[in-house]
Amino acid sequence: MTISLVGFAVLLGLIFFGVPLGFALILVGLVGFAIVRADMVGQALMTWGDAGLALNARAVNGALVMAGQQMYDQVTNYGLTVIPLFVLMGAFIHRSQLAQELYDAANAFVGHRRGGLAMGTIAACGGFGAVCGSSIATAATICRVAMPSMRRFGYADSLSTGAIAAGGTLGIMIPPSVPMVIYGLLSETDIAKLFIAGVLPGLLLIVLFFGTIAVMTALNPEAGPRGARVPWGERWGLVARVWGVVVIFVVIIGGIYAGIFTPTEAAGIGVAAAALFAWARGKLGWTELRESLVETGITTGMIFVVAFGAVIFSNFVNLAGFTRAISDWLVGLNAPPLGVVVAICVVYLIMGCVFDSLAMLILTVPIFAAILKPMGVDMVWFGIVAVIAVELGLITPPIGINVFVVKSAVPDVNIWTVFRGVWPFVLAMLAALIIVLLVPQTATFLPGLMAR
Amino acid sequence: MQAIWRWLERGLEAIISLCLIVMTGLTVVDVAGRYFLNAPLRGGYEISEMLMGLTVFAALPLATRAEGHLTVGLLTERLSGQARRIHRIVILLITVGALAFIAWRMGVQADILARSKAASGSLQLPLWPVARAMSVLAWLACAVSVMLTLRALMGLDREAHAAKGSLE
Amino acid sequence: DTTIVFNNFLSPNDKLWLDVMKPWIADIERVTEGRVKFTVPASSLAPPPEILNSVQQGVADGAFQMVGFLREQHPELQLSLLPMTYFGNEETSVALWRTWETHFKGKNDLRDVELLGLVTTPPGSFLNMKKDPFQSLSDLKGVKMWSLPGLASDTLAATGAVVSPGPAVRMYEVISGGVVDAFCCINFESLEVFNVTQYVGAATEVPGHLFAPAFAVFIRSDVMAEISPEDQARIREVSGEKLARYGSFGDPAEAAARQRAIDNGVPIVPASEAFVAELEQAFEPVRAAWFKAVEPMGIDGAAALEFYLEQQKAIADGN
Ligand code: NA
Ligand code: NA
Repeated sequence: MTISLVGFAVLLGLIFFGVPLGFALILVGLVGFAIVRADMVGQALMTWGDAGLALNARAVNGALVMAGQQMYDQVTNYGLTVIPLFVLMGAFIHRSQLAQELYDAANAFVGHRRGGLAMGTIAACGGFGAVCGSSIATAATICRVAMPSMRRFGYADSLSTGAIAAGGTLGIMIPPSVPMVIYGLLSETDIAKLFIAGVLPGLLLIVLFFGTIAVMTALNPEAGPRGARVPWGERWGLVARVWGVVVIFVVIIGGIYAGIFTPTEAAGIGVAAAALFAWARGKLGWTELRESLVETGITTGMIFVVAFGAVIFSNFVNLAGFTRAISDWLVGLNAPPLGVVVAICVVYLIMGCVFDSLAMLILTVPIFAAILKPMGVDMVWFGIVAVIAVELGLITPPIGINVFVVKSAVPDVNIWTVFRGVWPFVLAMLAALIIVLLVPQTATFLPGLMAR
Repeated sequence: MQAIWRWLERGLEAIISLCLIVMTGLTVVDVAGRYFLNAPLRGGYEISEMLMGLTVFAALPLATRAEGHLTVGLLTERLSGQARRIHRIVILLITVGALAFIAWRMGVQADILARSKAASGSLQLPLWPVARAMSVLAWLACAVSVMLTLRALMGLDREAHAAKGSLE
Repeated sequence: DTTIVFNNFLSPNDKLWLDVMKPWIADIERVTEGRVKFTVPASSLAPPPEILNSVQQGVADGAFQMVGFLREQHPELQLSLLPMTYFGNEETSVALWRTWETHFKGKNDLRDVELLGLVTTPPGSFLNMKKDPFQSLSDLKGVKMWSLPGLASDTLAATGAVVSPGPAVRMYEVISGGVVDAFCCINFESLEVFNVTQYVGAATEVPGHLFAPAFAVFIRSDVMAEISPEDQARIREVSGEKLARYGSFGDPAEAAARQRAIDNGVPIVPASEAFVAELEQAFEPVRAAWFKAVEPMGIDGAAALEFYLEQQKAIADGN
C-alpha cells in the first residue's frame, strides 16, 4: 500500500515535470513492479554481494517480461481495434466539414437567445457525438468552428472554451462511444444496450448544460451576447443539410440493434460510411484521405503509448495490493448496492483528476464488475454511471484531456481560463450523475424496450 | 539526412495508411460476407489485430519526430532560455530511454513468440514476425529521438519546446 | 518459508477458482503447516495466452492456464479437447491426469515449471439460436457458428458449419449481437455467468459432448527446489490426482444450470443414433490430425485416447 502511494507521488512529479505521460507510467510501473515482486517473496531487489551490487534476477526479469507481454497484448487486442477505427471515422467526418453545418443548424434555433451561441455549441457537440465515438475528437472538431464565431460575437473566453470542453464529453455519452465498448468488453455487458442506454442521459446532459449557460449568462449577460435571429423557414433548411449525420447514426446504431454487425465491427462500418459520405460531398480527395489516415495513425500511436503505461502501472499497483485494498474497502463498507456504487463514483472522481478515461476504465472495470455483479447491480446502469463519472475526469484539473484539447486549439487562451469556464459544467455533470444514480430508469428505460 | 528522413516518413505513412484501409476493408468484407453470402472471413479479426500493432508502431517515429508524445507538464510550460533548453534535453533523454526499452522488449517478445511457436488461433499464422516488425519500428523511433538529442546537445533547434503533444 | 505469487486470470467469483484452485492452495498451506504460503494478486498479471510464459520468465511463481493456448508447443495436452470424449467432470479430470502420467510424462514436459495438475470443466453442446435443435449433419451445413479458436473450431468445421472462431472476449458481443446462427464451446452454467441463456433456442447433446476445456496447473521448478524435499512430497501428495478429484465440482452445478435452462423452455434433445454415426465419421480426421501432431513427441496418440476413455469408465465405476 505504502509503495503504491509512493509510486503515485513519483508519477505525478514526473508528469508535472513534463515527462510524456506514457513514458512516466512505464518507468514507475516497471521499477515498482520489480521492487514489489522481490519484496513479496521476502527478497530485496538489490543486494551487496561479493561481486558488488547484484540485482534480483527473477524480480527484474519478471518486471521486464510483464511489460513486454502487456505492451504486445494491448497493441494486438481485438477489442481495442475500435480505437483507430473510431478515430479514423472522426477524421473523415471532420474532413467532410459537417461541423460547420451542424453548428449553423444548432445556432439557427438557439443562437438568438442570451448565451445562444454557447448553447448551439453544446447542441452541435451532441450532434457530432452521434457520429463520433470520442470526446477528444468531438471537442477538437467543434472547437474549430465554434470558437471563431463565439469570439466574433464577443463571448467571454471562459464561457466559450468551457462549453466546448464540456460539450466534447457528449461524444462518449451519446452513442457510438469508445469507452462504452471498452466497458462492455471488460464487464461482459451488452454493448448494444449500453449504446441505447446512453441516449437519454446524453439528452439530459444537453438540457443541464443549456440550463448552466442560461444561469451563467443571466448572472453576467456580457459573457454571452445574443446572436442573429434566423427566420423559421431557413431553420428547417439548415437542419435538412445535416441529413448525413442522421444517415450515419442510423446505419451504425440500426445495424447494431438489428444484429447485422457487432459494436466493434460497427466501427469499421462507420469508417466506410463516413468515408463515402465525405467523398460524396466532394471533401475527400487523395490529399484529405492521406491526411486523415496519417493523423489517425499518429493519434492511435499516442493513445497506445499511454495505454502501455497504464497497464504496466496498473499491474504494479495490482501486485502491490492497492487494487485489493480498494476492493476490500468497498466490500467492507457493508453498504447496499447504491452505496457501493456511490463510493465507486467518489473513487472515479478522485482518479479522474489525473487519469485518462480509457486508462481508468481498463484499470478499474474488471475489479468493480467482480464486486457489483454478485450484488445484482444492473451493469448497463452502472456502465452509464461509470461513463459519466469518467467523463467528469476529462474536464477536471489538473489533468483534463478535453481542456488541453481546447487549450491547444486556442493557443492564446490561458489553461486556467478554460478550467474556470468549465467548473459550472462540472456541477451540471454532477447533477446528471446524481439523477442517473437516483433514477436508474434514465439509463435503463430505453434498453428495456429492446426485444432481446 | 533530410532526404533519408523524407523517404522514411513516406514509407511509414504508407504503412499506416495501408494498415488502416485494410482493417476497414476486412470488417466490411467480413460483415457483408457473413450477412449476404453466408461466408464470414475466417480469421479476419486476427489480421486486424496485427495491423493495429503495425499502425501503432509505424506511428511512433513520426510522433517522436514531432515531439508529440502526450504530456501534461503544467510546471514546465513557461520555462524559457537556457532552462527550457536543458529541460528539453532531459525530456529527450528520457524519451530515448523509454523508446529503447519498448523496442528491446518487443524484440524479446518476438524471440519468445518464435521459440514457443505461438500462432494465431484460427489462421495459424506465426505471431513473431509482427512482433519483430514492431521492434524494428520502435528502434527507428529511438534513433529519431537520438538524432533530436544530438542536435539539441550541439546547440541546434534552440527555439524548440520539449514534447507537448495533445491527443488532437 | 516460501511465498508463491500465484496468478489467477479468472474472476475471484469463478467456480473453477473457488471450488478447485482455492481449496488446493488451502491444502498445500495446511500440509506444509504454513511453510509454503500463496499470495494471489487481485487480477491477472498476464494475458491468458501468455500465462505459462509469464511464469517461466518470473512474472509470477505459479499459475493455471487453459491448455488450448499451448496447442503449438504442447499438442499432447489438447487430448480432452477432442470431440466426444467427455463422460463426467471428475472422470475426465482424473483420467486426464492418469493419461499424462502414463503416456505423456517425460516426453514433452513443460520447461522450467513443474506440472502439478490438470482439471477440466464441463463441456458444451451444439447451441442453436433458433428454436429447432440440430438433428443431422445436413442441419449443420452452412450454419454460421461461433466458436473458440483451436481444436474446437476445427471440430465444428468438420461438421460442415461455417465457423467464425474468435477469442473469448468477443463471445458475448457476437452472441448477444445475434450475428451468428449458433454457437458452441460453452456449458449451461457459463451461459448463465455470461448472461446469454436467453439467446439459446435449442440444444443438441452428443454422447461425450463436443469437448471439455482443460486447465494446466504449474509452479516454477526453481521455487519448488527452494522447498524442503519433505514439503515437496507433501505438495505433490495433494496435487495431481488429488487435485483432479476436485473436478467433481463441475457436475452438480452444471446439472442444475441445465435443468434451469429446460425450465426456461429451452429444448435439449439428445442426438439421434444416425446423427451420432454421422458425427463419428465427420470427426475422424480431427482425431487423426491430433495423433499425427503428438507423434513427433514419441506419443502413441491412439493408445493415449483409448487409455483416457477406459480410465473414465474405471473412475465412474469407483476406481
Ligand atoms: Na458518440
Ligand atoms: Na481530470
